[in-house]
Amino acid sequence: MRRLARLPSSPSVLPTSSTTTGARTAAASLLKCELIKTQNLSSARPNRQTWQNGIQSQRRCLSSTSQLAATEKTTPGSDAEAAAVVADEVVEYEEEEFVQRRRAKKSKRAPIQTDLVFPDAIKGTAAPGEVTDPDYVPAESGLGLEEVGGLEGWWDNPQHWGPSKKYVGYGPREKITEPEMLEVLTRRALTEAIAASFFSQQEKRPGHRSGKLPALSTIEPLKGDTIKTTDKTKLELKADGTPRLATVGDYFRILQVLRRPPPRDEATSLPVPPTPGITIWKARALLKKWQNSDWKSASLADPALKFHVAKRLYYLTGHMVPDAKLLIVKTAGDLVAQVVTPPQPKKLIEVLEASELPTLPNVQMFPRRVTPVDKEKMVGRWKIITKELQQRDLPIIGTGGYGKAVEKKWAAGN
Amino acid sequence: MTVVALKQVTTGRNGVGAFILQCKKMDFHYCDWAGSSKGMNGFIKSILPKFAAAHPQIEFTVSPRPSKHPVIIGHYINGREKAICVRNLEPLQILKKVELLRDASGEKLRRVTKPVQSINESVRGVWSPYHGNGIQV
Repeated sequence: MRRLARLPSSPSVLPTSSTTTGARTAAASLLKCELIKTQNLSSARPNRQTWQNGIQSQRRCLSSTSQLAATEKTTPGSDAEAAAVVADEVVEYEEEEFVQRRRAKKSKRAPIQTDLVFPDAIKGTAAPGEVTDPDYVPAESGLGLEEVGGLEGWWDNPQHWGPSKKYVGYGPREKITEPEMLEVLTRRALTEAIAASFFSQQEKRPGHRSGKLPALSTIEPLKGDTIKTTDKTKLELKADGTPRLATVGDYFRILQVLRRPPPRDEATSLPVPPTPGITIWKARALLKKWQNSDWKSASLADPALKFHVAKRLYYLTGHMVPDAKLLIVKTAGDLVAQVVTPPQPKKLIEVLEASELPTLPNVQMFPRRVTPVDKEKMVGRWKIITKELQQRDLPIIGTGGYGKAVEKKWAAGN
Repeated sequence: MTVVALKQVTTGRNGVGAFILQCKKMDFHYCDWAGSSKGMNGFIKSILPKFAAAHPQIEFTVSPRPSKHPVIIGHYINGREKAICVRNLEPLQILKKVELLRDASGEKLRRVTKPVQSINESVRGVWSPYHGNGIQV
């Protein structure tokens, strides 16, 4: 969008006046301006010409107030026309100045730094009269000639996009699915979110000196020492179930973790997706250690804390809890239940294998549907049936493309 | 080897003889996924082991039948079959159906007007038109 140039308030061009007639004409010109604006706005899709007219009219309106007052003194009868002529001159002068200023600005602009791979410059070939090769025969039509060059599909080649254009998602490359690891990471997200929400509240207080907390999205990915920090941190529950860290030292220990700069790829300087940094065995050991703790009943009634935990959990595990589900999450345990996929229910046959049923002599169990072929095999008839069918060149299974008996149709009279 | 009725060597006289259960085999079909098989699955897990142990003369087979309602099929020594759909039934309701199949004779259902049958010859003998004094019309 073009910017409007401000008019200089030159006394020679735009003399000021405070007479009553001047005020009246100014009001008339403003009314005219409003009418033009309304016309421009009323058209649903104004073309470029209309838009430019609108701008010019607007400029005229901006500059016409005092100028009309000056012209009215000399020729009170044709005040509007005279004012328009003078305003046009001013606008032309301003437009020229604007264009010059813009050109100067463009020439000073530094070249764009990019790692995109652009196609080579256009190469010319010799004209048919300038070709020195004696075997050269100019083609009479374009049919059958090889097509050379062109930019079709240039940006479809991933090598033409620089490394900085590579997509880096939020969170790990792959979702973490092991229930034990998800549980450990939920606790880690909870402890860090408690500290983060505490310090973000401190920041809002006037005169704080702790410095601005980094955004949660830029926090360092999971490392072994961070899990140790989580393990060391003691969670306490207030009477209403609100979680808090046991000591002030815990808050500051986690603050140190949160303040570490996020790791970046050295080559591309893009943020590195977080990696789990913890084994399933370690997670199981930690869960065994925490089994008597009541951290899962920690209340997430505070929406700020709940969103902090959910966002942190998304970053650490790749599981985004949708808003509709967040609404029913009341405790940390509910959040774990949301991200952990329940195990596939066992099949009945698997359950029965552990029971006394297969030990009974009069009971037979089958893991899949017993088909008619199975029934024939059980009584030893299937081989004979197959042999007889083959002898008659009939399909062994299925109808072999033969339709229903036509005679049936005739008999039914259809 | 299916259960076959023993060949009659001696003639039982008015109920004095060996009792043979008419139901020789029972098939239990269920679905792992469908909700209508919930009660059937519970029955197979909890009640069927005891029932099968209590009826060694009946052969039991348990097999899935995916995407179908649960069914119990009874096979009888007269060669007939009787099938009962047990969709949406509770385990104890299914037990009633299983007992019904166990106790059934395998015959077609018909009204029994003379519950007592005898194979003894009548003391009076069978009437014949060629014997006796004849009737003067």
